[in-house]
Amino acid sequence: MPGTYFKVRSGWQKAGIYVVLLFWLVFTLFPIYYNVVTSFKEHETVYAPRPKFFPFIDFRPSLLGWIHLLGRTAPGEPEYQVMKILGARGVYLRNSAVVAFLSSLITVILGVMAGYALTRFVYRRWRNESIAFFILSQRMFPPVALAMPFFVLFNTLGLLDNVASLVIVYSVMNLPLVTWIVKEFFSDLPRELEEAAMVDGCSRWRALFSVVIPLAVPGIAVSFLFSFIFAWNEFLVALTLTFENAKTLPLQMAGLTTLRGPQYWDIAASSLVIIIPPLLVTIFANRYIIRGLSLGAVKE
Amino acid sequence: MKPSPTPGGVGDFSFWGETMALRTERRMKYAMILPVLIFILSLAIFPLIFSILISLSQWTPGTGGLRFVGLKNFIDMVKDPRFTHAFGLSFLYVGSVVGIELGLGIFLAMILQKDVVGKNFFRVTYMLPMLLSPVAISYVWKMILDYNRGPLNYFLGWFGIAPVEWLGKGGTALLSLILVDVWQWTPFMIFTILAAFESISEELYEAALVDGASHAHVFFHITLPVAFPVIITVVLLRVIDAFKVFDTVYVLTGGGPGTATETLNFYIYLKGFRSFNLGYGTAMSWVQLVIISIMFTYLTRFLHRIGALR
Repeated sequence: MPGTYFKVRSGWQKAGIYVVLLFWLVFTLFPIYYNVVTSFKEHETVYAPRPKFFPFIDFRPSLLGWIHLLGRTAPGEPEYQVMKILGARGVYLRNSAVVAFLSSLITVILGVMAGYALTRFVYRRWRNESIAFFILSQRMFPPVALAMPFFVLFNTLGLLDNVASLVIVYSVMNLPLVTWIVKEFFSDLPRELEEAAMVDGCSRWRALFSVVIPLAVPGIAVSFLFSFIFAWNEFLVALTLTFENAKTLPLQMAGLTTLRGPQYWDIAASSLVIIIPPLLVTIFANRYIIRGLSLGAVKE
Repeated sequence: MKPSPTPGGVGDFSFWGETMALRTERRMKYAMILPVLIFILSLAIFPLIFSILISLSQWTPGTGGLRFVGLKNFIDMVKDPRFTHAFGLSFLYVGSVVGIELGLGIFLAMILQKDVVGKNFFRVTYMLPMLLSPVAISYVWKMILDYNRGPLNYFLGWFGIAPVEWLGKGGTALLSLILVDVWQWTPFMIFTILAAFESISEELYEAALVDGASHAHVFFHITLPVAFPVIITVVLLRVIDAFKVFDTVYVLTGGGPGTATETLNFYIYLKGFRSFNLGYGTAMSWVQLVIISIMFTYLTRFLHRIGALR
């Protein structure tokens, strides 16, 4: 596939290209690396006169941050100094996981319905393009504009500081993206397969569940992962709609410094907990990321 | 969306003028779309309409209830210097961030298009920042930008540059926010633009080369024009998202020092949820929404006219 046009011929040009590529690589990876390293530091190493970069080589790693993350105290450390980073019995972690999982589930079910409907049926009165645009346009609104009416709404319903309110809001916020991805996958599926199943006596519903959905599993999985990550990372809505019981990890993290100065080992360890799921998704589903984020404007 | 073929299932028989299969078909057609539409209508459109109501009223916590005040919130906005400042700052932020990311994106996409060793490794690694939680990475950058112990000042020291108080001064605080945004979102530009570049068939390049066109000529007369619609689309997407910036501001600077990094979204948040002036906050977010929409309408119309968008 690589033709002659993109061959790099001169040595200087080659050197320049690799310098740029390596520079951007270091720029991209350094913050993540430094975060991992910092999570193994303790008081003396963090507040050392110069920053330490290599565990075992220029500082002795410590598990302090990770011990705190598990809600334990390090030997010889007074109990009151330690803050429950993940909440009592990991409740913030659980909130984050529950909210992300449930909202993604709802979004994906609705997205599959909409995606199937828009690719397989013709709506004469409303027009399919208008329905698609209507669903998509939800992405335009700044979350802060939605946060205030939601605040009043959930205040009236008595659902403030309740996991349910976050599940509902995230489902709405993710629906455009998921609908778009699923719709693209469905329209790529050969229609003959379903038709064959229907000729063989399957109802359309049976055909949907036993032919279409199994074939679209990659797309559905990707859209699930996407909405999971967005809900997992979301901060503004969580900040405005929850206070204590329904707090999620990013919100908990944002409050970490205010108590007793920045305890970087705790912060680094908890930010790693937040970062790891999306990191894994990027590594395993990177083929779909651009397509998902650009709402299909670009096909990879 | 092609019209769906009429089902010609086996067990068709007439039933009240339409076949049984057609009836289930029609039922399914609405069963699939109505829940979605109702869901969106009740949870996105209703709050939006409700928010118009909020923007015209004063909402006091505790006592509860909305008190209608007419256009007072909108009139207050004109007289509020912090609003104008936040608005201008948002434009400055969005402009710099999208400009820098676009430039770097085109540059790195051009490089990644070359025949380099380890292409796939670079591609996957470059993508890492995009899906990470802005709150978490803001903390990571806070450590890096730390005045006393941060690696950035340490590295700058190698070149004899005195430590900079990154988050403590107005100009550098804004610069820090821009840096974090560039770190996280340049990959988006790189890969969307790269995808557009790669959609151009290689024969075209080879042919241009045979005709004796220089690389620069090919880039400006083939690559860029073909990729232009995609570039415009992703720039618009980035502009929408960059206006939404909130998490990094909240964690890194808290809008400070003073109001130096108080972007519009952050100011709206402060007014709405810190001083609990929900009416004023909502009014501001509507002004933001309307102005951005108008801007976009004219921009896309202009781009259509000059033929840059189809």
